[in-house]
Amino acid sequence: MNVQDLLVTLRLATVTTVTLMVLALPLARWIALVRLGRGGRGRAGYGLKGGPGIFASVVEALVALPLVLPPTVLGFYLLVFLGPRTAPGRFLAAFVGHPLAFSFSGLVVGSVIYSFPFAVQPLVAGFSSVDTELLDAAALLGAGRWRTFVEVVLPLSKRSILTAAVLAFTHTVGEFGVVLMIGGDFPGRTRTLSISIYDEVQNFAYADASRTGLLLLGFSFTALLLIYWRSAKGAVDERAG
Amino acid sequence: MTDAPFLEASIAHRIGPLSLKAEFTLREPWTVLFGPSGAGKSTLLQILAGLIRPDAGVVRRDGETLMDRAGRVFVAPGQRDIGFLTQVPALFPHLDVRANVGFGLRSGLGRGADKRARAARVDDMLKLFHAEALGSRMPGTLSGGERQRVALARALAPEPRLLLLDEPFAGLDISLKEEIVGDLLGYLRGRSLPVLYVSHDLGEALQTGSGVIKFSDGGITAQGPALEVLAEERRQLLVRLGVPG
Repeated sequence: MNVQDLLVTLRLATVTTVTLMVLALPLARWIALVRLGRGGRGRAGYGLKGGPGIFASVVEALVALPLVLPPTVLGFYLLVFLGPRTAPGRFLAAFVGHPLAFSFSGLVVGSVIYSFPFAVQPLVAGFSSVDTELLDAAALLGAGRWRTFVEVVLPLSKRSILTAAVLAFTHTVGEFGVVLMIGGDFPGRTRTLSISIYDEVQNFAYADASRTGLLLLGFSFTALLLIYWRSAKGAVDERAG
Repeated sequence: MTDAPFLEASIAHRIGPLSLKAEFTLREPWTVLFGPSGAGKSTLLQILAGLIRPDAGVVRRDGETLMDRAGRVFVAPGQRDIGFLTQVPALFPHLDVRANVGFGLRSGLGRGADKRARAARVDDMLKLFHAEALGSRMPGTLSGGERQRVALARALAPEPRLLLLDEPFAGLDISLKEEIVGDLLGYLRGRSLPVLYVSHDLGEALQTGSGVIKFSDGGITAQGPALEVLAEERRQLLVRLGVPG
């Protein structure tokens, strides 16, 4: 392990988490509304009949896909589609100025897709658990969808938002297959800690591997502890309130 | 259209096992919607308020069309000038009492009202419903009666032009209920704010109802003055109590 790999890892996880939250918040809100049967357009959405429909199910399945897909499969497709062999890859390369495969930007794209369910699912759960009567109350008092989301749904989903961010971050820190496939193993650019522990073991540098391993173990445990401790505390506070 | 009724509604809606079909007009300042639990009274109010889109129908308040399925008119819930109070008040748990009462003043009717005017309006409403001491409390710390006071203040703050009450005092003891109803009547005095009050309590309907709409199994069975519409129920009650009719 060296400081360079740590910095690449932290930078990747931070950029990925911020990107994920920007993408996942509106998507999770949409999925939660569709599940409630309120996914219609604008004001027309109140009390629509009928189920969510096939489109919403397809979106949910796509979001959950990285949970079950081998990371190497995802990495392979990304390598093909982001590389210079395909039209989208060439277009992206022209757009960014360099090929995405084996670059930090490529890693971000891969990580965002790979960690997507870890950000979206806690948010959907959080948004869905907000009482529909509160959404009705906000609507009756003249709040539109945007204001209801910002002033009612988001503040009542604080814990889920924290969970989503922490899971997205830690999951990105811990990913291996996608990073290796799409990033290669370039020190200072695409070598993250999970790759460096692999390299260390390949080189029989067990002492180094052990230090890297301990760092990742400690980090992951602390992050999960933060989530569980916060939600346990929140539950107690709610009961007391 | 000064002589338009407070409310005209003609609604047809199926939801689960319930088939709702209702046509009525409100001309009295206080009307009780009377019927057994599960008859569809709450669903009817939700349709009037705009929370549910019925399969078919028209709703007009003071001659203004709020909803017309055939004509594709649908005014959003917050734009209907309708106050709605449910049995369990849905106060925003993360906002204090003042912020709850002021919530409706930020949009809809309160549009354009500046900060100081809004704060003054919140003060007035809290005072009217004897809740001025609760301003900085969080909903989770309030008693049932206090919650309903705050919910009533919140529903009335944007000055709605029709008030729907869905058994809001059902869980409260008599003296507390009478106190809050007294405050509400005080607020209504001198205002032209018609009330549609849902109840399944006969005593309540006879006591408060100037007009009664009798409702059962998703449809209206009678409408008129309380003593007339509920004469049969009243007779049965008296027989049960052993009072000669």
